[in-house]
Amino acid sequence: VTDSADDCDGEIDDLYRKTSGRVLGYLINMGTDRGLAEEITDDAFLVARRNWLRIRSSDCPESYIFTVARHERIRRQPRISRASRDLRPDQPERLKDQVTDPSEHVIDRVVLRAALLELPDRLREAVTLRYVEDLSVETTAQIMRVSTGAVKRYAFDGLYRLRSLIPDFRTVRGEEDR
Amino acid sequence: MSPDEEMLINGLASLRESDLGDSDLERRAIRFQGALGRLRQDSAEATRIDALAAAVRTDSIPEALAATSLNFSSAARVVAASGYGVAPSGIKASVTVTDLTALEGVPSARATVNLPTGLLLKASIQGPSPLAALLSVIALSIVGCMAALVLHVVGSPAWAAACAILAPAILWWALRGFGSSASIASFIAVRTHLDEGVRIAPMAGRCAATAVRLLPARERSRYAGEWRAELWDLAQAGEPRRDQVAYALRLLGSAVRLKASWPALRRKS
Repeated sequence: VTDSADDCDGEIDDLYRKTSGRVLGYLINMGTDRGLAEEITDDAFLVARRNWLRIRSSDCPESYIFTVARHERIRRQPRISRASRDLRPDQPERLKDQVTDPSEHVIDRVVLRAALLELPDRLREAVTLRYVEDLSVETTAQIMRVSTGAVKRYAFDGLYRLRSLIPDFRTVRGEEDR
Repeated sequence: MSPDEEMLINGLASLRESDLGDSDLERRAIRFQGALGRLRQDSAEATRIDALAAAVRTDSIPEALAATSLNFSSAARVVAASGYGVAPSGIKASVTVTDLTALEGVPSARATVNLPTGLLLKASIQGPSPLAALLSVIALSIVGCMAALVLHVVGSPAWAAACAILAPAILWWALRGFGSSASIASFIAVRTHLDEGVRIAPMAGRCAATAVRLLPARERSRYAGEWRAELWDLAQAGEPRRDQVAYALRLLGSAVRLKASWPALRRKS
């Protein structure tokens, strides 16, 4: 079977249109700036293109792309300490100041994203890949390079911490306690 | 699944960015096609992308280390065979001690440790203490001499000679565990190879180890592996020693909280 460069380019372009949004979303939800997230996404797909003949025969080419994106994110995303994050001009709104209507049973995306950014890296990553990007436990484990058991625990702990961070749940729990 | 949890998971799903507008996707797709064109024509760009691919590849686990085992065939006493597997980029492996029998006081102690992936094993082996060794030597010498004397008096010189020969042999057999630490040298070498360039702050490691000791015994190996890998991640990312120690102290705090909440969690389950 011969694969011309154009065929490969076409296939990777289709995959890009199908998957790049998820990779970009993962990076943004992990706290990467949008510009850098787009750069990393493109680079991850370019890496996939260079190794396309090998990757496309695998069960899940997306997991390779996520792995490259994760690796690049860790390498290129500047680490921002909690103290300096407070000094950023575009800091997220404080969770405690958010007022939401619990009767709507809908969580404000801004609140949720801010709460997600409060989680430690690993928990945030597990929650993002599992529940935001809707990847399987096995794929998440492959991307994070941990065991499936660890993914389940990170995801569970992440959800638990999110619930303690979001005012809606805090209110509900407080009322229940009373 | 509780309604709260369902609401939270639905909320998380709403954060998905794959439903971006068509125009945005089109803009990015056109830019990506341009990047693909550059990749084909510009060798410098191709080299840069190949370097990214290589960086991901070198972080994968060496397959040769996928499984290994440790055998301690000596009088050494295995103090701790807990371990953790961490390969570059934070790949963790749980260490399962499959056969850790007859460790106390039996000369042929044997521990087999299987590492499903990667290898970064710490196993402490302790030979007989100097005092115990000295007492053993004295006791065995006395017993040997007395037996030889009794046998000589009774009139069995052959048995007396046998006793005199056997006593040193027993001594040698009892004390051969002194050299046991050499048996893990090769594993330490492997560890050093994997650890190249990454060093967890010793104080942070000690804090994490203390935190693990606070947990119930059956949970220790799991948490040891995970916490150690998290520290490894920090070290790999170039976090200063102070931050690593601070993180380890937070682990200590969470271990205390975990320990406190354990009975409640067990009752719930």
